[in-house]
Amino acid sequence: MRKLFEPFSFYFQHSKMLTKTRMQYKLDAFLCCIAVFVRESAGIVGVFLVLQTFNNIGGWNMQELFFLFSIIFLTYSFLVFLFSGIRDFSNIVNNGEFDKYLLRPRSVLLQIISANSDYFAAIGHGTLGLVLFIISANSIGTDWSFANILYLIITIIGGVLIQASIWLLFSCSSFFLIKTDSLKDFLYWNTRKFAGYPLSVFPGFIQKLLMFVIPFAFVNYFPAQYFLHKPDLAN
Amino acid sequence: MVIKMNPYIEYGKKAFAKNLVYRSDYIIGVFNTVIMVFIQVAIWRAIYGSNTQINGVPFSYVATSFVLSICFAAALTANDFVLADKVLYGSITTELLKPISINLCIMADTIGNNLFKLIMQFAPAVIISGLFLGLLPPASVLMLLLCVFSLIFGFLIVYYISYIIQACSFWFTNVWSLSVIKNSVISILSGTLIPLWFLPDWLAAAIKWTPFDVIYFAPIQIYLGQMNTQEIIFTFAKQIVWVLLFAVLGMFIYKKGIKKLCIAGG
Amino acid sequence: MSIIVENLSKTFKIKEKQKGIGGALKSLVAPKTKLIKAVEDISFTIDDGQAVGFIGPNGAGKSTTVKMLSGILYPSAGRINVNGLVPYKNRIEHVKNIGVVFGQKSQLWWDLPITDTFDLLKKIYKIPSDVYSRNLELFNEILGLHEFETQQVRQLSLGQRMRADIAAAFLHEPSIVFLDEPTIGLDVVAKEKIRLFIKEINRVKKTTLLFTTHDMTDIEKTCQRIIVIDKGKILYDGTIDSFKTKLNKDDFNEAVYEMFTGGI
Repeated sequence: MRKLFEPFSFYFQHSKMLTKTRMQYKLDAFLCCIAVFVRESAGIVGVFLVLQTFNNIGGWNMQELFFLFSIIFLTYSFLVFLFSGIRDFSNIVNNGEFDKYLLRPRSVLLQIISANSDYFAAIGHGTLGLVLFIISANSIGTDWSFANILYLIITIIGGVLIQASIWLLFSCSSFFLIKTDSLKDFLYWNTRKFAGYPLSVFPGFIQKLLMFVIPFAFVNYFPAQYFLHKPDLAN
Repeated sequence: MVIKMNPYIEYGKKAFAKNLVYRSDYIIGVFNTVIMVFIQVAIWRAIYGSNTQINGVPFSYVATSFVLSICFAAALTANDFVLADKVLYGSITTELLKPISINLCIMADTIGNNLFKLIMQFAPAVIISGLFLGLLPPASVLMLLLCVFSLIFGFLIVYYISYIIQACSFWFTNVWSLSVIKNSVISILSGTLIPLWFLPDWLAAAIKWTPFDVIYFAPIQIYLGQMNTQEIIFTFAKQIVWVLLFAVLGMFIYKKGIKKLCIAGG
Repeated sequence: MSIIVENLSKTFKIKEKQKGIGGALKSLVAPKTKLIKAVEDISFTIDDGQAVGFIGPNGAGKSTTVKMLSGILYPSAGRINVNGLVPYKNRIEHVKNIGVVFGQKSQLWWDLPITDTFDLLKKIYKIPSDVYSRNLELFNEILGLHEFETQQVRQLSLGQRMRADIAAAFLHEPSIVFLDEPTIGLDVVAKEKIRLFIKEINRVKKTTLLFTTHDMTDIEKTCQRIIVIDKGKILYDGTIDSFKTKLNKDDFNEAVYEMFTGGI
């Protein structure tokens, strides 16, 4: 039993140190959270402004779009809280941090996950996600029954894991290519940009890309369709 | 004069050549830009639906404005961290000992980088996205030339805003946050996220008093032939005023920063 | 026998940079690569508890060898056996028994006091509490860690940081420790403290040591044996005294200089 919980205590020991480290630079920490919040809000403000003039984008109104966005931000918040080491893996390899992990008698993946966490981004994205969720949850006509809340939780866990495994895939490639940041940017971030909008707006090959290659559609689009009873792409 | 400029030209060349080292980076950079354009155009196609024009703006204008503004924004950037890194890692003190101007070095570095991006990223990105998404030709050769000129001023506005952020690095250990906030504001208000024709009236009126509409959007309006002579002259005047204002402010903050550095002893 | 190395080689493939814009464009289309033999067919064995100096000019292949021995680099050819294990195959079992100090790199948490890193290492290596506090006490005595244990690492002097880094590598009582230039850039007093510590640990705990350095005094004061390497090949393996006799010099430093400037 103790053996089972040991990795968690290992993880928390790291979290304690990470928090202590961050608290050394309080102003910086605060500004970082604000910056992440503002950066991510830019896209939302864009949608908001567009919908001042127009009713909908591809049949989705503002509340519905905000709900779609909120899942992205909420999952990303957990994602960088837990797995930012996987995201920054190529940095870790390039600056020699990886060698340090190899020299210790622990699972390398456990060390990478434990020793890295992007708290500011997690707070920034999390706040935005929550705000959007609260704004939209009541006006999208979803009955927040126990079953639906459970489904939402599963959606978020699934969304986090899907994205974490996409990152892990790219991370492994940085053993072979020194600079994979742009490859990750290319595939992950571009796909994520599509995922902010209803998939039905895009041409077929993009839809297939998000369903079958980099399965972002399962992070927010399909779950949102379930909650919103949206029939697009139903053929 | 030529001899005096030599070290800076060298700096610019170095910056240009440095970009060539990571070949995958810029190929991917081109695609990133094209995809951004692609997403915006797809969304606006959905918004337009079966309409050919909305508020008197034909869809082809919207597509052209996205192709140009997003490609401009990707190519004409300024690195907010050149000076910040020098301050953070302390190399500023050794640079101050060299008989060259740090400010001109930063300018040379930026121009070198941007020339690279114009040739290797902007040109292919515009051609690809133009071919697939529709790019209107310029209203006339004269308008094209005027567009290029006003873009240079647009770039100078971006450059000096960035310079102000950089000069703040004497006070902030990390200007990343400032840089991110600045870029977000520029992306919303300069027309790369939503063409400024479609802003709500109150915001459109407010934006006239800011430099943001003359960075990328005014040059695009000139390109499309949407401005008369008077408006073009007004645009140039506005651009020059903002460039001067930001340049003076930036220099002022930089001077204060250097003084602070000398007193604190680096 | 704690370390056995047989016919070990490591070859790197590196991209050649070409000068100027034209050159950069050329390497964009057709990058030139060349092979570099960092370590070429070396063999040696080290007994339990032995302290061995590993000497060679910059780029001789010392760090590459240390990296292969510690398991973070795969050999291109040859065999390594450390404590009965193959480093790169049984990574976790292997690193439990070794400690590594890189003079150029720190394993301490930059923004926190050293005690935080030590507590973390206790967790990582699952060091029993009594062993942990006993070792800390011993290390404190020799290295004087108390003086600065509440300060953040980034505020420490290089000498203080290095002392802490060395303590960190010995905390879990490894049977073998690789020291890769631990005295680089240090003043005489700090160097002396570190030598004293290394010697003492080697005597008390019978720790096997492989000591890389450019300071021959480090070697003379701590090691019984030296291995001299250059251009990836072993030039000498034996005691310091017979090395001096071989090169006809009374001074160790001069003997080493003689060897690398083409004496033989």
